[in-house]
Amino acid sequence: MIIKIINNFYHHIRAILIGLKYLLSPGIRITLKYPDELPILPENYRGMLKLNNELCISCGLCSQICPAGAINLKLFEHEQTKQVGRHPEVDYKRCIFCGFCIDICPSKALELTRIHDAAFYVEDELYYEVNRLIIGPKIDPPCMRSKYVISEIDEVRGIVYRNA
Amino acid sequence: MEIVDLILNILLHPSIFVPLIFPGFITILIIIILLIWAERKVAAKIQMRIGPLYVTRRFGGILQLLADLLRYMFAEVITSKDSDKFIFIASPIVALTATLLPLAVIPAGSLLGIELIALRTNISLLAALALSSLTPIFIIIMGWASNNKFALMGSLREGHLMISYEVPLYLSALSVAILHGSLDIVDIVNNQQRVWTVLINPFAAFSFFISVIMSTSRFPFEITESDSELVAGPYTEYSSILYGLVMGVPYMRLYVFTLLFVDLFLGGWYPLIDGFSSITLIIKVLIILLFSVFLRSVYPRYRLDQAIRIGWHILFTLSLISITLSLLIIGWVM
Ligand code: SF4
Ligand code: SF4
Repeated sequence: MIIKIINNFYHHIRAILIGLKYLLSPGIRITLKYPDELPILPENYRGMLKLNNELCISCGLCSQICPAGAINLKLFEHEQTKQVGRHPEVDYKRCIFCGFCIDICPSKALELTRIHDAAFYVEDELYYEVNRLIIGPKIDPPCMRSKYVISEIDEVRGIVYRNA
Repeated sequence: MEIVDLILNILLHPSIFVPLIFPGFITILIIIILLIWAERKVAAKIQMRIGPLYVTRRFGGILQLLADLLRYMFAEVITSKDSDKFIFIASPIVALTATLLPLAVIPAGSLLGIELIALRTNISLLAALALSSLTPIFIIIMGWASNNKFALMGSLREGHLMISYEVPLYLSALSVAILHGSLDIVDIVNNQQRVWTVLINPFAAFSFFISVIMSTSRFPFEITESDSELVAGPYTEYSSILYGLVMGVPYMRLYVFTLLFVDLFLGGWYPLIDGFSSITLIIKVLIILLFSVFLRSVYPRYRLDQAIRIGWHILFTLSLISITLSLLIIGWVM
């Protein structure tokens, strides 16, 4: 009993000392200062979607596979080409960015953009109708201060960011 | 000129100066703003993050809490439909007031020749302990009046914790009183001119400190609020300025108890700096405060039953040992 208490006490002291060691050691910070430092995202990053309506064969597979039920098919007529077809609309209130719809699409009509940080003023804007999905997501250009960085795995520090 | 003199005289009178300026309200406000910032920064440093940064970027985000307070100030006060409205709104205010009451009897050294104690009695230790036991009651009432399951569960936890920390807290404080043969905190501090109580009776200091950590819900005893389980415990339903108040209550309580801890165990305002003995005191207080918030980054949270077991098995035993030790020392010296 006594030995157990002393042992416990020793472990508490050790935990506090380790905390102090980290507090006093020179800083390792793995935070990305996001709006100031923008990460260059990998090629297959699962961001928001973009539709190429000329390739879409209106098969509806994307709507069926979508686990979140975010895709509806809508009859759509292109303003210039007058091409008619049933094309997907995406509700970003539901989308979980799983990328299944892109994988399943037989004609590669849906594609990924690497944009993930769009912001909307109105809730309804989160619903992308066909014509907006064809244009794809738009974000404001990053502010003057921001710079692009590449993240790399580092043996000691875990993750480091290098200026691009 | 006479009016200025009059105002200065009123301001510098201990019964105004103590509650209002030092160690009272204004000091507390400054210390809380700095303390919460330090808490977040220390936790961030240990967890390899950066912490608050964007408010006053050049000084590392030191005014973050001021910005938060301003935001609370202008937010809408929402009282839920089912709550007991009068008690719901009144209890945070009363809790805050009750938290500050012990400052009236806790001495804080002297500044420019003014003795900083609002009310000198020869039972000030008892008075301070009794007044400090008011706050948990109002925290429980807050949860009850909110009429919300998370709030109610938080209150229940606070009630359970209360019975397990208050007994060791008071017993270990009383062992100090036995040791120094006085219930007057000023006498107790004056007795420690040569050797601090913590060196004579470390058990009392240990159990007092852990009980304080427990009563102010610092980690590892942050069981009442436990935001990963209970949203914010008894404070769940509070918003805007009322939330600002209830968020401040545990920190103020921590500050008051730390003041008491320094007075009882760390020699109060000794070693003396002539005319500015409060500075010694406040430095000690700041060190203890920093240590208590530093614990957040080291510890996970205990379960309620573990905390109660610690309270009754370890702290209660330690406080009994400390009383025995005090009695033995007194008998030996006599
Ligand atoms: S990414 Fe996933 S959730 Fe989003 S629309 Fe495609 S299939 Fe649905
Ligand atoms: S986007 Fe692809 S999967 Fe969806 S309907 Fe068009 S062709 Fe089919």
